Amino acid sequence: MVDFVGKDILRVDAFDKALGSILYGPDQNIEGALWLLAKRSPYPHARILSIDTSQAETIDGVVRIFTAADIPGENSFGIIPVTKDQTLLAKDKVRYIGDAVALVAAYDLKSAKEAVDKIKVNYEELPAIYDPEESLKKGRILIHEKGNLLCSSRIIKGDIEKGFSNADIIIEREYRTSRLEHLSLEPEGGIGYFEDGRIVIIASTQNPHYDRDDVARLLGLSPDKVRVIQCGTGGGFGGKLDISVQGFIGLAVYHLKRAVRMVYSREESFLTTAKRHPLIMRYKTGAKKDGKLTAVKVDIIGDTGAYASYGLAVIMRATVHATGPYEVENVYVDGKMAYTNLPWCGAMRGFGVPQIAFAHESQMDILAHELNIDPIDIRLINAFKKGSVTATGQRLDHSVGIKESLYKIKEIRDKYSWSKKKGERLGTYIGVGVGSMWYGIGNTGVPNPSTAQVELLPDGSAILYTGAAEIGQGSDTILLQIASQRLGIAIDRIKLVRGDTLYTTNAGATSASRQTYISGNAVMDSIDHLEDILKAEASEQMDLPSSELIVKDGKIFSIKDSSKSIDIFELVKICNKNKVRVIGEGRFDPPTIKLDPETGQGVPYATYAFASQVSRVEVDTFTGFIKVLNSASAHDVGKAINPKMVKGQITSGVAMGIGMALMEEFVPNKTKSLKDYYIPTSMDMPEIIPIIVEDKEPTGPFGAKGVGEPALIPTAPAIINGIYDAVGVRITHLPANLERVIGELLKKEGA
Amino acid sequence: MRDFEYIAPKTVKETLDVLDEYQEDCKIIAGGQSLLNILKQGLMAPEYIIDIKNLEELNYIKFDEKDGLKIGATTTHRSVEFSDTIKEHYNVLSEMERHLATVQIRNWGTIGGNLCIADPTGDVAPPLLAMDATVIIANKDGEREVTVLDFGVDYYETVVGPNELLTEIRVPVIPSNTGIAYLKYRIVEGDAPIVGAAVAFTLNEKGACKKARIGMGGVAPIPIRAEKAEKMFEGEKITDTLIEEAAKVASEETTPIPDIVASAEYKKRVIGVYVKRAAKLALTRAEKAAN
Repeated sequence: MVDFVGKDILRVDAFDKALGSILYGPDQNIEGALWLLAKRSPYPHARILSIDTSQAETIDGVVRIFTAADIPGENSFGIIPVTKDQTLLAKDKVRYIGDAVALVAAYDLKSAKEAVDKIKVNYEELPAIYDPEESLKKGRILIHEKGNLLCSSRIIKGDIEKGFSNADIIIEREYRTSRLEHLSLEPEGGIGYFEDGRIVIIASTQNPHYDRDDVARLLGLSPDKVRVIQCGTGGGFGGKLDISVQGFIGLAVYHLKRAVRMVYSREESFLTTAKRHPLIMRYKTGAKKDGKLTAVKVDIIGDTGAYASYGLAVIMRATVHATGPYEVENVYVDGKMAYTNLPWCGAMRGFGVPQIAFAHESQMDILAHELNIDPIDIRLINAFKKGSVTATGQRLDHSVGIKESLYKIKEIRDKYSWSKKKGERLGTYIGVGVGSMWYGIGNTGVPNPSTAQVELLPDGSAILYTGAAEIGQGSDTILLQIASQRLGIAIDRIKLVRGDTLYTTNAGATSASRQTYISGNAVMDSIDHLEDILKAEASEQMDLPSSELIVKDGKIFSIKDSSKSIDIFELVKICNKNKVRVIGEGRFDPPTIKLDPETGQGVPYATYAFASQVSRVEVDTFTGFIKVLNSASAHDVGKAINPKMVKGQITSGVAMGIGMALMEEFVPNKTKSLKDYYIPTSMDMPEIIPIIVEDKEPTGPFGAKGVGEPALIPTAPAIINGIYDAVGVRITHLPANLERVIGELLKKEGA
Repeated sequence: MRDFEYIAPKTVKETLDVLDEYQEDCKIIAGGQSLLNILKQGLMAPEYIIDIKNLEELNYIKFDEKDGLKIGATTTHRSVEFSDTIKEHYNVLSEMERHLATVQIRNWGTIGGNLCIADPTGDVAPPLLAMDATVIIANKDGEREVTVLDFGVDYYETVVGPNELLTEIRVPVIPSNTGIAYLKYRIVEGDAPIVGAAVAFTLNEKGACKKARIGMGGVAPIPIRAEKAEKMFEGEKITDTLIEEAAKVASEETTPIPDIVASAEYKKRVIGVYVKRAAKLALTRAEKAAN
């Protein structure tokens, strides 16, 4: 039989993407569709006294202007069911510059713009809060009625004070990170129309079923009255998990029953969509002289901006991962997420782990230097192994490839003799840095199932139904590879029906690196079910009990007598003749145990990905410019369903990580668009060596876990530690931009 | 973007007539790589846009040993980058163009447009300053020649009047024993420089500096020359120490505008570094030319 899993199968969307035939959100259009444009708040915090749309309504070309009063359902949304605190159109107050207060539907964009300018909103400005720690002080003005603390999360293991008293060395540092913009290839966009009694929305999204449910909730409809179809999505990185245009499109179609179109400009996307949460992380790490960690105490304050979005998930994930992939007996982690009047923060590749990894890996690096231990060795001394117990009390029994990843990068570092030295140009120095990470696959300690169906057709082909959004990461190809392998049918004989809430069932969000593991397993489960159906039918046809039948190579055989068999597609024909479709229904929910609210003990994830990276960087001490020269990343993905695509993810993670480490920073009110926000280009890339480690996960499809977010996580730590190795300055505030690096260099020179 | 009327004259003469008629109410567009952004952001709202992109009359690169180089204003960056004439006689311009923005922008953007938009971080001006280049500015009654040094007036402002058109860039013949280098400092490849430094040294027969020119971008409201630093070299043997000292002086001659990327202090610091590096490279090239 031909193998589909573990092979570099060409992405199923490769040709369509290369030829430009896929329509993305902003490309979606229907002749005569009205344009939608939102009127947004110019104030960070203000009460709305009145909204006057009368003048705007007189403009030719304006069809209708909506305000909060036009929202028939609950005017609140948000991806986490317990924290839906964001208004589609602000009712009483606005909480950040960019909050939508009204929506214009017009025949053309020009009229819509004119109308937006003519809508008069009378505000009473309120004091605004821009600092999360300020926000939590007593007596501060409330951003939300329930208070300025969104949520908190705590992990307690062992006896933290005992841990520190047993330590030979204690390192205390504060780390900070910045707001980041996702910067998908295309901004948010889509269309909507009314068909068969339903509101249909076609948009760029990572999460069609959530979109459907929250739009229905906004409109006071049952979910089956809304149909969401995911169109081509050129990257999400977490930024397309929350609803953006979908809510506005839904509202307009609800009232107008006609086609509408909404596309965010890049500037609007910068202004009004989620950002990465900036975290303040205060670490106290204790270790013995031999490098063994004895205690880790962490205090985290996050800034979620004006709304909750994924704030709860980010702070939980940051606290759970705060030790790094290391055994620590005594742990105390306290995380708080505060509201401010800044742009709201949500999911972004890694959900708080890229931030926390920067901190725990800087701590490990400081320890290594202080104790004079090789930075890879100190990680090996502490790294999880099979049987290790995490800070939440979870025993890791399988697929713990962290040590293997460290051995792999050590091999590369030593093979090429990467070490600290002077650069070629005067004033430049080269250093080598290491970063490791762990990342729990799926959502934290909550059910997050996926479902899928596989149908066999009499012509020998099959259909795979999945709600899993393909956002460029490759789930279409991976899920088809899994189905192909299990069915023994070539990939091009399986039709994919994906991301349409009318025809597919909920697969959960394309986030948390979960689709290969969770939706992959749902596909596996649907084929198990399919085989049961076939066996039941074969049992009748062959007059044998089901328990005596097996499925192999497209046939059903008797265990006892292999000459007795029946082709599965013969069975399909028989079933179809009897008007029965042969569909296997699959579901998988990773086994987790909810974390104890007081101690954080529990099983947050069924499995973890692990990775280590070594990066070689050159620091120009005259300018503070940092060039990443080489990078090798080893990722334990369980099993690479498609090694080439895994390597692609690893490479992309390094690229994105260089941005996070060195240049990306969204400064509220200053960063308006790409001219104020830097991301590295292909020409700024170092040599990247992606290494796949496969420590199989027994509960994963063919042993697979995930790699989407892990790819990014070790990069910034490796670069920051490389800078320290090169020039002896430690950057504790990301990004390590030119001014920060030169500032630290000058401080060191002065000292 | 506000609506405007689009006019595409067929000849330079016709262009100058149209400019004379509409004056402040119009803006000239060539490659549109900067103007379109400005229009989209609503920073300008002209009633007329005069498109000169297709004026073949202004699309040329000419050279002779007496008058030097003449580049028509609508010549694209890409044409300058690949011109054999320029590679042979003014290679620093080709080098500069290779790192100016992206291929897509270089295919559209014009060298004249780059100067006229007068972004102080533009890549084109510093090497032209280092080579004592001039520009020809025409109106319907005639034309005038202005040095690139005198071309800028203020941030995004030049001496080109509302009825005028920049038609040509002229670069004198490069004297023998001359080395020129332009280095830009940017965060990512393809971006505008934070600062840029161009240095030209002409050596005398004894190997000492006969003439020095230092053009700098991104360190003042307009592209400037470091005239005090230039004087330090003239008549002197160029050493690392002298370069170091002159670079410090050059840095003091700047008045950078802070922005989201860098403070004024930071720009002052790196321009010194880049003048130093460009000077070292220019010296190496001058010495090579002399041998």
